[in-house]
Amino acid sequence: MMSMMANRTFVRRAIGVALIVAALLAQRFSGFFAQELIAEAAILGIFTLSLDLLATCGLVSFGHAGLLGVGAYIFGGMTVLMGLPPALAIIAAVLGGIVISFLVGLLAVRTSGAFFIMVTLAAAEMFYAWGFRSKLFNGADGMGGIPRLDLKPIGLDLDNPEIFALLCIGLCVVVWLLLELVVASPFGRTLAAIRQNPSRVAALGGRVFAYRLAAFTASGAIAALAGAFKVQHTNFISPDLVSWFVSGDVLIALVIGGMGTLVGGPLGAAILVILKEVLSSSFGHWYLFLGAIFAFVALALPRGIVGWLLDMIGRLSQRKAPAGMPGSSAEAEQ
Amino acid sequence: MLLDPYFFAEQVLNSLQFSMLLFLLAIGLSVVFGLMDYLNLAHGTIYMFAAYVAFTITQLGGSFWAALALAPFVAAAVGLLLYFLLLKRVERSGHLAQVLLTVGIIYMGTDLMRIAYGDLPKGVAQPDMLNGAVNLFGILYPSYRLFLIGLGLVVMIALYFALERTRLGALVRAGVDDRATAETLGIDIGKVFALVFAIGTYLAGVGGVVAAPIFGVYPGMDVTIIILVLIVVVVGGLGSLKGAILGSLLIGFADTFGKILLPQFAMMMIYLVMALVLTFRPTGLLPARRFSTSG
Repeated sequence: MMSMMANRTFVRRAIGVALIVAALLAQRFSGFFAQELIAEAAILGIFTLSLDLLATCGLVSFGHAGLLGVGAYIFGGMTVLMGLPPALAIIAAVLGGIVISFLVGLLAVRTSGAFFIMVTLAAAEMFYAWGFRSKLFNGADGMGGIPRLDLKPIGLDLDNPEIFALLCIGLCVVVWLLLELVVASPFGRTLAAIRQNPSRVAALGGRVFAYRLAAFTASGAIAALAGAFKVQHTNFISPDLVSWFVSGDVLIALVIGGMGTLVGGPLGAAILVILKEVLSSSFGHWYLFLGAIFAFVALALPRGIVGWLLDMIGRLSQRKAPAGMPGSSAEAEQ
Repeated sequence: MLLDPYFFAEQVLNSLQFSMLLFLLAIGLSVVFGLMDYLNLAHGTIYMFAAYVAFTITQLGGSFWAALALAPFVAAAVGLLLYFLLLKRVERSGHLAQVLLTVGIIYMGTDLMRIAYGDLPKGVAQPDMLNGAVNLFGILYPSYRLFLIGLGLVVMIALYFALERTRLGALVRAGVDDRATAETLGIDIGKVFALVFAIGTYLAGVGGVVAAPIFGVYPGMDVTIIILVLIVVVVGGLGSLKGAILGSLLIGFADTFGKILLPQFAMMMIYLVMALVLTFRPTGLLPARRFSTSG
């Protein structure tokens, strides 16, 4: 069974490498406009990774846009309103993400399942209500003029879309590798055990609450990082960033790609960004088609694209394995 | 402002009226969730669909009453069709596949209504006989809204007797409490569920028709209501009638009074109520027995 798990890990990482190569090729050989899409997909990819880390311990958030917004508003506030350097603002955004997600998590991770979904939604919607009325940030109209990180001293001009897109890809890769390490660590294995059976972990003396809170906090840090780069990309901040449509988008990207596979998130993000672009430029009523595609994915690939691939490969390798071997590959990582 | 007893009483009635509308949707969602662990976000789409059907019926010269009699049946038929064609297929695929599928249905439903009826809100006229106002101890209150409160109460009482005093009700309660045991005893939970689903969508359809004269009919009305209904369901607790009633009342009052006390942060009040409830009761106020322990 161990070998099959190793097998799955290998396949996941191979998909990850293939995705990186595809992103870099796309970045190298495409025009100006595609650079914006690549950056958007990479940032959404980081965001999906933060949601997937949380899913490792069995929690699904429907308010992750709130944590994205924490990073976005801290970054926007510090750079535009206070005139501080963007590098400092990124660090502050991540720290802010840690603090806020820790505080929200104290309440939220006591619940699970549909209740957790609703508590996180509530927290994000409260933030949305504040952002909508905030005079400081221009309320619903939003605030523009948000600067990008200044890397000119080392010869990189991030206002160049090609360089910004490359940086976002790089950042997404770094976060992915980091989470691969986290998921494989004792901490990550404990989170997976909590997802499989929280009461058994508790009975063995595992501190389920503390681990879930830690996962939520780490997830908040990454979401805030994604938020800080999201506003650098659009140079604009508004409460729409925090709306539940954004929480829905990231969740949908993750489900399309395959929850619990890490690499599935960025893959789903790329697919969602491309789909929206293609459909909205081809059809008037493009949500009709987007909805049909969501429905199709849910029916045909309920475990997402990467989940489906892993299941298929697991079945193939099981056919080769000696008969009577206990446990399917799906159970090994479920 | 709230010290004025007339104003206060009027707002209480407004809250009750909104609570009843929430209840009409929440009960279907809650029992479907309780019975099959199914997260059906497309419940709101049925509500919107029924409102459009009602609009069409009145456009064709039918009365409001004709719409109220017919549209919920059309909604239930479409709901069952959706259930057997699409929703049933992800019954065992977990909440996420269900969310993805039903969000897909929401997107498709909204755009289909846009294509058929355009982006602008449509109106459905109140029935003539309820156009006036009733004098309730010195408060002049619109009869139509009073009718809504009455309708909600009737549905609550009918459902109470259906659940507590009929065979089907006993089957539903058994299925919610312990599905495996109920099935072992030879109960076809699948059939019970289809029936419950039909009743739930029928009531969502009733909600759509009666909401139309007050809120109008527009693409996106499904999403507006479904968020509130989901909150009602988690606040009240899954799978129980009493929970759905209590949740609807709490959120109906929180919404109405939130808009008066904190006009800038109306939604905030609702979320605050939910956060408070779930802090002390992580599974809601009155969940069915199976859900009363935290999982």
